[in-house]
Amino acid sequence: MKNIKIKLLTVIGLLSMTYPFMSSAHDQSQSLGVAASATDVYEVDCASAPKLFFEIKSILSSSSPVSAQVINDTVALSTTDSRGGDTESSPALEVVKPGNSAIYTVVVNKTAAGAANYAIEFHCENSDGSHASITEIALKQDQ
Amino acid sequence: MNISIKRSMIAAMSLCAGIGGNIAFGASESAASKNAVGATDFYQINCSEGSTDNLSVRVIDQTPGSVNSTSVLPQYVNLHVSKDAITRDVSEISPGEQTELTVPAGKGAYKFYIAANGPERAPNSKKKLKQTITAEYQCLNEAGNQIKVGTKTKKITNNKSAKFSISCGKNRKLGAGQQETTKLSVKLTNTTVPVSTVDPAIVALNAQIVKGFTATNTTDFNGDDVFSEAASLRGGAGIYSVLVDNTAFDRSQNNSRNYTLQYSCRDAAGNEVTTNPAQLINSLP
Repeated sequence: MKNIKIKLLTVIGLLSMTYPFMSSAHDQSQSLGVAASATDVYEVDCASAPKLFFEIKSILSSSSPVSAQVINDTVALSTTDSRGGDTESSPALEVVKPGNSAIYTVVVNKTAAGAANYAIEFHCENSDGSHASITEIALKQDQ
Repeated sequence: MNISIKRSMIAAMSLCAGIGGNIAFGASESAASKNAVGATDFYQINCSEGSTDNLSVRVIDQTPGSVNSTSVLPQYVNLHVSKDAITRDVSEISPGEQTELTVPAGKGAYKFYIAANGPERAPNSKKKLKQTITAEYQCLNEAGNQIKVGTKTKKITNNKSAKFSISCGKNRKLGAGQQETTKLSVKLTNTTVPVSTVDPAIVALNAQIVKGFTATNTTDFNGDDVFSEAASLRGGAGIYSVLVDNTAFDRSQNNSRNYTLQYSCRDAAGNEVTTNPAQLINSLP
């Protein structure tokens, strides 16, 4: 039994190493480095859902405004949390995909040098505004 | 990610972002973004030549009547070192910067005077801003042998100054006839973690270059005739997406921004290669 348990844990460990960034969670916290040009990039997969809900919150009161851009095919929108450390998030975005691509590119950046911590909230939505069952996110660039 | 690795990567990426800073941009687009919070102009630029290494862009916010960019205040320290009649001065050591100096004034106490310049507080904080200086020093004899080594750290509130001294005394281990200290060598680092001095009420103009899942960003503040820093993305030949957006948050204001976007496809040596005109794909919302 002990051997089976160890093998099972090994398999789970290998699987988690194979998909290190995949998640179905709707919140993600991350930081941007001190360089003014520091930029993080995510891939969000909404499978068959037609739109993506997205907002961002800057955590540190000392950081410059934190912005995010969401791109799908020929559509791009931006949103900014200008004041860090408060309870308010950026204005929410609802990005409707213009074609068949399920993949959204999310780019996060800031306006000046200095570290920034941020949290993003997102979920794929069905046409009626209900949450789609599958939302996957992968951090592709971490600066 | 490990912080030191992250900082090294950032330094390398910053170097990449600096590529072409002194090179002319051969193409440009001038436009006014829409009057909406979140307005984004979406361009595609085809760097079709096979030798393309990167796309460089920069932007300038030319909206009339906006606040001046001097709202972004720099932080730095000035250093003055003296012993007897010998002095050394280093100006404007910014957070993350390092300076090395040698003062050939023999054994004894070397006096350091450091003045910190910058905003008193970050825009969102009541806490006074301080800068931190770390001095790694060596007392050396004529042959370059270490007589004494050490590190001193000092925190200085912005717009205040601080004094400290480093003593290069006699080394008891030296035998008769051996050389005493002849100079002090110091590596001084401004280890301050930079904080933003940007007033969040100021609307900034941003431009991003995106190719695949890599991206970079540059920002311009209105009120001067100076473009943003040039941003470069190394993606080889092909189509790059360029977004121009801003940090507007007040729906009751006119958030349209007049801007000029300059861009240039470049080879690995920084020379401009065929740069096809930018295509405006969308202007939303």
